[in-house]
Amino acid sequence: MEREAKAPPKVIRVALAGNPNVGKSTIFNILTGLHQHVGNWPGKTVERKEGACRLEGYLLQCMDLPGTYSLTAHSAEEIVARDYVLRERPDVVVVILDASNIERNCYLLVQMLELTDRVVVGLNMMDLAGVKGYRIFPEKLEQAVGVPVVPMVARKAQGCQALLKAIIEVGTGQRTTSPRPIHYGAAEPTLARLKEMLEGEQLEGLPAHWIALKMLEGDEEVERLEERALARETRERIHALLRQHEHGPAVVADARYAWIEEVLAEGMERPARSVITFTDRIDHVVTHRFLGLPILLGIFVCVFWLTFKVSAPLSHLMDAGFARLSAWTAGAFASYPSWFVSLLSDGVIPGVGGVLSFLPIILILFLFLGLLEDSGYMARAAFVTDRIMHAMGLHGKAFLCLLVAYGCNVPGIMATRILENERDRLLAILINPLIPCAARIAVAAFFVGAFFPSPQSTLVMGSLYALSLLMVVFVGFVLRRVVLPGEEAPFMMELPLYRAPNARNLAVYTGWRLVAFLKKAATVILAASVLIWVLSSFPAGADLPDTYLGRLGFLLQPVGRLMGFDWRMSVALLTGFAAKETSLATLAVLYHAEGESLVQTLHQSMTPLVALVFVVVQLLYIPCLATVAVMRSETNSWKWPLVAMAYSLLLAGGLGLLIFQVGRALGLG
Amino acid sequence: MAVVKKPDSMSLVSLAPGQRARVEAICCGHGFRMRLAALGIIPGTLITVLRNAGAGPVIVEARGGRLALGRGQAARIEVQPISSEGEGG
Repeated sequence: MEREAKAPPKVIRVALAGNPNVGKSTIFNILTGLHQHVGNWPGKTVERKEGACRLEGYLLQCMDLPGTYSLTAHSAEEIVARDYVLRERPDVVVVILDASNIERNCYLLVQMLELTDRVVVGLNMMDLAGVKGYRIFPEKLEQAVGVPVVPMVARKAQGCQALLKAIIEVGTGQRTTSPRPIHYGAAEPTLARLKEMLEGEQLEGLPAHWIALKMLEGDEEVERLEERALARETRERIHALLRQHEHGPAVVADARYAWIEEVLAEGMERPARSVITFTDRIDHVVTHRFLGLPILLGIFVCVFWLTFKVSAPLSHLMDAGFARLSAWTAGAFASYPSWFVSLLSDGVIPGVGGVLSFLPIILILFLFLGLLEDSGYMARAAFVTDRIMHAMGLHGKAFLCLLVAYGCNVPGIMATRILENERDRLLAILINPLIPCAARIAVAAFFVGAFFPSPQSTLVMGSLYALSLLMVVFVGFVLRRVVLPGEEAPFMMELPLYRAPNARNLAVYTGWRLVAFLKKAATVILAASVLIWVLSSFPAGADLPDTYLGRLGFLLQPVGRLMGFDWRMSVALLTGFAAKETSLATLAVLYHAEGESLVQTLHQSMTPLVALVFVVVQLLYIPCLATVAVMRSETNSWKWPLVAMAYSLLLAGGLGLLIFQVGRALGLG
Repeated sequence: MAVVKKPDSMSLVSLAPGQRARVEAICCGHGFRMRLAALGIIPGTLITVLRNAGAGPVIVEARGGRLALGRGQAARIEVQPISSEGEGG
């Protein structure tokens, strides 16, 4: 054994498995640091995270499998997780369990042990288990399960060294595991018969024992494999046998929980009566039938208020910085051709700078959302909103995707991956752009601040949020009935224990979203600002109304006029397609104004009614370029982004027309 | 699986908060049953209702964890209530 440890550097392939919310990502982050590669599993919208870590001459290549509750064929995540273990055969599978919810968590462990012997258990959240009155004895549990069990508190980085040690021991074969056998009771004879029938068959390298088990469970993927691998006659014999055992799935699930109960009886003690925890006390209030919703609203109003309060001075600071940079560039590059200087100081810098000044808003908003997520409140928010979400044919989980969209629609649409049902996902993607993102709210806030005095402006902003929410419900209702009819997907969601948020998790959560936003700024928005600059600068020497951009604006005038817009506003909306915040920059260019003076110029050129119509239209009119791109990639077709663009244009146009015409009839404009 | 209704079994949604019960049967759908099993609920499991407001989703505790279930899903779970004395029931 000693000699083996000194052997030359060896690669150990590690897969990390676990339920959602068990601290798997925390452990993955600790193990791999920032040496991570994040992408998608081929052909699936399931996140694939890979990383590596060096220790004592070993290179651990870690694959973070998607968080799943089981290994059936019912979701893409579960198929990805089990296929990786079955077909890629990692040297070690680390199953992370939440010690405070150990019984339920063990269900995944049993299923993993059905796939492979080379398992190490990371028993995380030992502190929370203590809070619940559980006394867990890791050594006894290890004895009972037959694989290494490492107690951990990942949030405090406790137990990670021991976990690494166990991974290396099992990965190198220094330590052999002998998992406690699972007895499938009444199903054993059938399983034995199935294994006999499968003997000698080519099963794509998969273990016959596991295939037999999955046949008994009625697994669709395994049925497909049967059709590929087995002769018709064998298949018919198998099906005849299975028809006699319709209770197969129930017997298997029963056997697994019986195994779990045996193991836990040996490895832990539970209080006779469940302890009333901190979580119970909070849940008593936040999931209250009457108090739940007001509390939720209160929390989110606070989050949005704080976000804008804290980020506003930072954004102004960045704005001022970019204005200076722009002026400095104009001076410093004076010797270069004038078109080049103009491209930089009038196009690229204000364009990209304008977008980057949203960075504080996005940073702070995601920090708060991450805080709510990490503490465990988000699951309660889904519970509280489930009834409301039913109005548009969605369930509570979809609320979370819509919430993220208040920061930016791009992560909002990506968050729809948590919805298991394809139809639900499409619907949540389609209504997502109706949620006003931080960029659109910033444009709205600018206009509302410019045209309405203080107490009134809050009311107007509030109504805008309410209007968008109303549209979400309305469009969701219509789409559900007309475009995507069908049965509602079941709502089943775990409510984790509350816990103190973890700084590292928050940093990673916020960090990835910032990177995504910066990428957008560096690519789409940079290109768009150059394009807008070109359109507004050529033909060379022409006045603005005569440039390409100006001509486009005039072309749109017949439509714009119905809503009280002049050509500049139409152009601003046009450029807003690249990125919503660009509208403001365009208006500044078109009105030849900067900062405070833009407010004055706008006041001279439009009434508050027209300003309001403009804000409503820009809030709803079309998903931005980046959103369209992510819709395309998440739905794998151009159909749905086009549907979203069409309905939102109609909706925005209709509402704009209505508000303007009614307002004017009432003598407001 | 055939659902054999016992005379005193009832739907989970008709339980009041705080009430304990044993799951008797789960109605409709192989996939639904497998998902519930993964979340800890199979026939025979003891559950406690934590929240049931008469409308909207319910919260139940099962195997030491808590779950939010849509009302439609909860209605498909047949249970037999147990009084707190006769837990062996």
